[in-house]
Amino acid sequence: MTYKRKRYSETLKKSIHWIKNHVALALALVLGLFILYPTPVYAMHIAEGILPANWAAIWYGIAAVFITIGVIVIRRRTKENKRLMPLFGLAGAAIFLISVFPIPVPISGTSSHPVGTPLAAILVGPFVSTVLGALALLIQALFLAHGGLTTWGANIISMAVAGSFVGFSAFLLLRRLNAPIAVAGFTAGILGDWATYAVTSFELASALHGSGSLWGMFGAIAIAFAPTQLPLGIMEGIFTAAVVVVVYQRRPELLTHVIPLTTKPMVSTVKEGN
Amino acid sequence: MTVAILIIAIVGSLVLSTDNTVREKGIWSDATDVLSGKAAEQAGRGARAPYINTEQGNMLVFFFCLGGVAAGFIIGYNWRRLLVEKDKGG
Repeated sequence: MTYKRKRYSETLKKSIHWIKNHVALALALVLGLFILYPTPVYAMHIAEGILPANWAAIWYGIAAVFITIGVIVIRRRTKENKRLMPLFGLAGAAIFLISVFPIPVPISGTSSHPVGTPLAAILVGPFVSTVLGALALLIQALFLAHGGLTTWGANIISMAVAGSFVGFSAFLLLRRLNAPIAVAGFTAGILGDWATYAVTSFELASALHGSGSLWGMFGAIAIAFAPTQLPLGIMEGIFTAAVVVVVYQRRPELLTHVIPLTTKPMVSTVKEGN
Repeated sequence: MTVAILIIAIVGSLVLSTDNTVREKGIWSDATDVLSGKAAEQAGRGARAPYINTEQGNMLVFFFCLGGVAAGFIIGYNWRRLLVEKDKGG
């Protein structure tokens, strides 16, 4: 009898342990099924055909400059250090996944997505992040009906370039001011996210304002974006801070190698135990 | 700076959400989609179907699953290579 009780007790303990270990997996599965449930699709990013050809060409031209520099940087860095490839792969896949992840915002009554490029820019640098973001956008435009081929250039500028450079600059500036990693990461995420939607508003306004005021239309679109994007920016900030802190606590050299300018303050913070 | 940003975000969301034109299409509608659609409509333009139309039956779900699995694998594999194996001295 005692033996049986012991066995039951052990089985129960094992089951509880198993459930505890698999709660995250179960939650991820439920969330995944919920998101992937086949409902009518609403495209993210600027959709195919929205921008006139001349504006599409202008954004393509500007994007090409950043992409060219980014490709050169990637080639140079991977030539110097082949071990950077996993980090680039991780950052690229993260941008792809994060930027197709629709998040409903109850306060605004609509949904939108985070961008992931501020985080990627902190991990791999803004030019590399721009190229990775461009690749993610291309796959989304080709196979997921998100964005478009004619609007690829505009989407690269808003999500990959603005998100990366604003996020990276905020991170760099705050680290230079000796702000803790978490604060710098949070601010980078939030500002990178908002910058993406500010630039999207400008792209739409510049191409579609017609005889009306460019800045009037820009303001109207930006204000309409705000109730969705302001809270979503906070979420992106928290996520960015969390990942940067984890990476930095475990492998600080990953960040110091790709962001040499931040080497000094970052190392000092770790020694202080922040 | 960060506190100011947080205050702007919270106050801005609350104030601007009262008269939000985007909400009329429902909570799962995408803000960019709705706003760009409206702006384009005013200019006499509109979104058109993607060049590769994957919105056919289960095809889009298939590509979403494929993309999610591939990205998840790449993230997990590289995360392990970069952060877990190094912790173990690998």
